[in-house]
Amino acid sequence: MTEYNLDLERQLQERPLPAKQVQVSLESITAEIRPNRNGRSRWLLLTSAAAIVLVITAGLWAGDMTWKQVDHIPPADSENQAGVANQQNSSPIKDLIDLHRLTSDEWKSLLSGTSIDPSIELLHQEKLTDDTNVVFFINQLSPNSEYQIVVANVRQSEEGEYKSVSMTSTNVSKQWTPGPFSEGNAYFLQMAAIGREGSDPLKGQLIGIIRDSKVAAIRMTNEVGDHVDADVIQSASGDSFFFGRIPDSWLEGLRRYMDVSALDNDGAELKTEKHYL
Amino acid sequence: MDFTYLETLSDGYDKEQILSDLILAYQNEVWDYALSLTRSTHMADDIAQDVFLAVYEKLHTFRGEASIKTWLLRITRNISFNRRKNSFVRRVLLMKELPESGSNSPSAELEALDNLMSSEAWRLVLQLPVKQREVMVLHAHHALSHDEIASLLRLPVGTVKSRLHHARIKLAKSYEGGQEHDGV
Repeated sequence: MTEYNLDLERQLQERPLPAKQVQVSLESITAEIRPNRNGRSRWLLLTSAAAIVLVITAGLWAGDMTWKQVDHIPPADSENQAGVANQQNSSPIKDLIDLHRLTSDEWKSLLSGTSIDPSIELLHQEKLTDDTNVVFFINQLSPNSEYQIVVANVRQSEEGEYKSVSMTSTNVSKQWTPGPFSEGNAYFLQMAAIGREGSDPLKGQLIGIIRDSKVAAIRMTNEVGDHVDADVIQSASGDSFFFGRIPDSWLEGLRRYMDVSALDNDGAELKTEKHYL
Repeated sequence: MDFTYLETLSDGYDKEQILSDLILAYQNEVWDYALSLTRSTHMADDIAQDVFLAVYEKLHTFRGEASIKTWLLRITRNISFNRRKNSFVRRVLLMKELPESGSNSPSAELEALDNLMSSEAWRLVLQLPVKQREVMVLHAHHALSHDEIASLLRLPVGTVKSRLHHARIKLAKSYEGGQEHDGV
């Protein structure tokens, strides 16, 4: 007896209304929680909402994760001893919106390596699709190795006009609170996701700054031992940053994770952290 | 993206950032499930908003007994059904339930929804009684196991299998085309 139909159940794997764009407003939620917010939080809320509207996504995992598996943390060197407070948790949304408003000509200049602002430096770009580039750049916030590091998804229209369709950033300082076992003295990283426009799949990146001069490479290794090394790029200011694309297949499914390792010149692990994807 | 770390959240975490990530990762799943329960795009919009408001308030209570997805879908279900307690909403829902009790004239909204659906399967599933409909949707669309569905609905696994079986039989009778399969 025929009792059910596999084709029907396959159809149900698709969304009921494939074109439906769900819009959940973070601003409304936070406003409902905190109806008597002060001016500062109002600004944060508005900018948070703007972040959603602009489809800006940001990763987490700055330094407070309880599940970190640290094999070895190199002691702070003299450069780190002079450190200032880490800024990795601040969210420079306002600046990000400004960056999101870069004109097509400004993007063209930036992508061609021409400076559009003395503080902004393009470190890496690569094609995601025929009309889309992923762009990694820094915005130097102070002479003390404090930066805004940014990943943008920049799309070129048929008319040749450039615009950013999604962007994520974080503030980071090369310095870190001193201490022989302070986490984060080797490097700071953030997992970022861009590409969120319509039904575009998320594209994952690992970005960050290298703090310990002994770190020569940043390696991502998945559960089955496949690994990808991030590109380590030195900025004009002399600091080292890294950018790595997380393979799309690593992001499929639930409860996936990868190890991120800092390696020295001999390939020895200086530090390894486990990060869920 | 995995949210296992939510099981071990400590003080001082960035609640809004986590919420933002959860919205990006699960808003479609939440909306789809709400739509399947209410058969109203407008209600699904509101429910999705309410779900993430509840998540924002209850984030600290998530302890990983279920996956984050199952936890979100349970909140979605509770909010969807709680809306029936509102008299206006209940009245609207009852009107929409009429076709299930024998009427041949679906509500205007359901008819409009039918027109939006690209798939015959979804059109048919939305006509199932809600108890069979939600089991079918959780299984086929949200890819939950029988055990996960039983946990979400707080039902014995046998009941879940029984509802799924009856849903499949009903769907097979009205579905045309596709590859047929014998047995359950």
